Amino acid sequence: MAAAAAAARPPPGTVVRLLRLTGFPILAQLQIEEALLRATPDNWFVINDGTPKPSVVLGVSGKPHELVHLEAAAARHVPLIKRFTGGGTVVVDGDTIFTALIMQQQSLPGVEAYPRPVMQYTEDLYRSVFGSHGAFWLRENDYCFGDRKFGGNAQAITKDRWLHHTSLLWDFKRDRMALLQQPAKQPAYRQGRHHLEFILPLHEVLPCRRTLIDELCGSLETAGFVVREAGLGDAERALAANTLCGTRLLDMQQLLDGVGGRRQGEIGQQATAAAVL
Amino acid sequence: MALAAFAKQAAGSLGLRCSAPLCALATRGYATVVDGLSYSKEHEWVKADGGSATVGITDFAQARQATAGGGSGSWFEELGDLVYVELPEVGSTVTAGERFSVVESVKAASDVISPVTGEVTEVNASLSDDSSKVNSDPFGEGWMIKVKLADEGELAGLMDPKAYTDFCETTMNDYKQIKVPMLPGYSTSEPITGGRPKTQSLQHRNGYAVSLPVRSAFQVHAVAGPAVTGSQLWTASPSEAAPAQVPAATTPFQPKYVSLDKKVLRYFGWFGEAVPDSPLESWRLRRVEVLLYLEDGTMQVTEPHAPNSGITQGTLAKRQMMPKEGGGFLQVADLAVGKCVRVYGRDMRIVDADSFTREYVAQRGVQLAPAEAYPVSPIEVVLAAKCKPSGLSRSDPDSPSSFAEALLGREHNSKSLQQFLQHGGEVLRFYMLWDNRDVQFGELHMYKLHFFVADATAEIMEVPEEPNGTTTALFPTFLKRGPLPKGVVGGALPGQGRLTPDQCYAAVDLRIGATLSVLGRQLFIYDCDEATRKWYQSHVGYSNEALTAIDVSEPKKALPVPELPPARFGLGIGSPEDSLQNCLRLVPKPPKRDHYRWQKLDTIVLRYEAVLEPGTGRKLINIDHERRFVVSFFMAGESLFVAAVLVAYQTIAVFEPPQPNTGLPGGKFLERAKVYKPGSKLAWYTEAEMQVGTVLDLHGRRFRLVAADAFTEQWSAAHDMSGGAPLEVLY
Repeated sequence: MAAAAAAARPPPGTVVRLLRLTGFPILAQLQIEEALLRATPDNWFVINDGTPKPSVVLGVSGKPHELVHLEAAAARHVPLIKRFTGGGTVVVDGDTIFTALIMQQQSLPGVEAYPRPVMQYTEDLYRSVFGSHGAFWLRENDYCFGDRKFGGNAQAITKDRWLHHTSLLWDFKRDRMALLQQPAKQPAYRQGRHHLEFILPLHEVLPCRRTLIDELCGSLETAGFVVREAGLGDAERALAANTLCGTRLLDMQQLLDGVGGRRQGEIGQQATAAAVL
Repeated sequence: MALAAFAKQAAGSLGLRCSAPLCALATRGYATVVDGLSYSKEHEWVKADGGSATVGITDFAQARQATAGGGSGSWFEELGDLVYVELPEVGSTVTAGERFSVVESVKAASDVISPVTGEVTEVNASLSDDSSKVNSDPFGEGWMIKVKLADEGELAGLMDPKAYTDFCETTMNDYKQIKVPMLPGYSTSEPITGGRPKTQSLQHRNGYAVSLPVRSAFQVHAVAGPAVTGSQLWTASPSEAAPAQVPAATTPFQPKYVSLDKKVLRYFGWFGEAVPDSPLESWRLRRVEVLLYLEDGTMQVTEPHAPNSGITQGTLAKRQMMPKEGGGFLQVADLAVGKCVRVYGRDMRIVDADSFTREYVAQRGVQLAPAEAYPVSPIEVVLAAKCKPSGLSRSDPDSPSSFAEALLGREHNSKSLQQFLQHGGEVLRFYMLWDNRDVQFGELHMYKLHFFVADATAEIMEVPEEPNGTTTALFPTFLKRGPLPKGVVGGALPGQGRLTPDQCYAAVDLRIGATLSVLGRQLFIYDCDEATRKWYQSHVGYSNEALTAIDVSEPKKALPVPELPPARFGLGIGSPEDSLQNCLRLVPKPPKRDHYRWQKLDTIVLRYEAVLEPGTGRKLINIDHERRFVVSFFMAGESLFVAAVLVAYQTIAVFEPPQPNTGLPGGKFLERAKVYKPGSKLAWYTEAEMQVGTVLDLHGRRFRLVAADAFTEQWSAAHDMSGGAPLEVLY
């Protein structure tokens, strides 16, 4: 099954519409991705080279107060965005490359619309890009060279369509990474390492950012798709047609207030416990 | 379905999340499909309870993941439980077929599709704290929402447990067998293993190129009939009988295309074609020839041309393997005299075969029936009835057509026609002369008489004077072809000039020695040609003596050659030859140029050594005896004297080589030019005079040629030096 998913080829003539963006705001990009997933029947590949404003993006189930140092984020005016896919929390900025592959299940008959087969397929897809630069593999759902992660990913699956998007770290700022707390759920291979030791910026391995983006776009043709360039207008039409939107900007003040309230509660609990004892 | 992947990788998870939900996963154990529930294709279950329903998700997909073995070992290392469930708010509306919840697992946010429509009355709030309940007890504590049904009829569209189980199995099977169209370009993920060799199909046997049937690794569907290759043809014997003569085993191998080359069996047949809308016939017989080429078993059907049929005839079916009704191809066994053969929907009856076919087939033990007659097609009957009802041909004097013509006024069997038919191409030729010299300005004229026996007409032509046939007469035809009257017949009034046959000369009137009176002239026949002699001997019966020619030749009088006027000084312009042309012709022509000399001899220069000779009225002084000259005689070529124009006449140049200490300067003595002979204004020195020892008188100076150079000696020995008298060239 895994081999079948990895080696799946689309029927000849299957079109993937390519949307190239540069410096597009991540919130708008995520909204567009959700719209393209839910409101269009086409296959898409969206690639965005950096986002202008550094942001923290949380998964659908992410709890901001557990994952992000909220005061620090507020102090540095880093917005928090909750996306519609699962997965963990990332800090993104202009040195992050985003890709999103939206596929109709019938376009890849060998790939079932479940996370595992999808990730196996995308691992094989990206292997054509990264494989020549190092020991590339998908380890515990992260894209790694060896034991260092360079890209995270997440999925959203609806009836017959799936979306798989990644954030590839070309480079990162250490102080921004420090906004993130150590998550409760960590992959085994992380082995308790600090974020900065566990993450690999791609510029240390790959020679050229432009080439990487071109190769990512070209990997679809290698995979057997017919790539057609699309424009932002098509995406915006989908945006207008979409009704369900799980992507939203979180209200920092509310979060801070919530944090404050929680603290109060904890102190109260501790006091009660102490009182009991 | 979106849920299906979840996590149920209970056992063996390498402990990354040591949390209670995981332990719950490990201890779970219950049936995949629970009775009493309705199931949707999206793998949700519905428990109907009056007007409300409880909705949750099934764990079918989880079980499938586990039993399918999961493939690689990587998912054992994975975390795979439900980590987050987002439920709608109480009071919100859910619609069948649309998302009502999102669950997260393995980094994937998956939509949960609602099977029913209604208002959410209650949600399972405990899932927000412990979402693993969905994994551990999907049908019990893992329920998600309770809905007040808007349309209870929707429940009828859901599956019962049995149907759902079947559905799950089908889904599983579907994923195993991925169907793609068996067309080029489509493929499954399995590559075709094994080699696909393409074996050689062309070989040489005994020096002949033969092709073998291709053995392919894949199933080849027969297109039309069995696949027939060249070497397999003609394997079927023409009939049940065994071949009478088996080819000897000692003969070397010869492929069919060599041994049976140019051997064609020919059968004759016919088919009838319906002719609609014709009052004369209802069907037309069409003859066919069926040709069967033995070398490859191909067949051809042609229709021989029938003139005036109006049908485009020719090839009806071009040479090919003729398909047979019911598959296969037509072979010799299918053709026999007296048998019907069906070719492309036409039934043809074979009535005959040519002798080669009969022999060939007889050699193989089949005896063809004797030839049958072609049926008579109705049109032939009709047409035969229409024309020639009497059966007599036109030439028969009793035939009705000649009678009809006579009725219409056409001359029947006229004498002239008979004469024409009998003596059509016969022409008698006589040679005649008319001596008119006794009259002033009269001449002797020679004529030819052509007498056409067919219609007793004659024409008289003027005999050419030149031996090469050109005539100098202005009007070669003396008398146009027509009847030759014996005497003058005619009058001024119309109708008086009509000639009757007895008034004209006939063939019997013409004899050698006879004098014809033609238009008042007396023409004397003195000769005829051989064919005429034969004709007369055979038709009229003249003897040889009567046909001998009469000699009328006269001694040729020599024409006086006109004397040319003495050329004293000439005109002073141009050359004397040019001026002479005015004496020869009224309109002078330029003197003829000797082209041979001009082209061939213009490089020939004869050089002689010369000394001075005393002449009349010219004495030599002392120094003259010492002088030596080089006389160059040019056979043709450029002459500077005539402005660098190529000339075709002989020129002479004299040069005196300077001798030291003589006081004589030497140099050019006489410029190259034509030198006329002394006393003549027309003759100039030619190569005839160029010999060692002759004396040339060049403009009063006399030179005696004493020696010649080597080239001159060789050339003059090899070539004719007689030249040609210049005068003759001029004329």
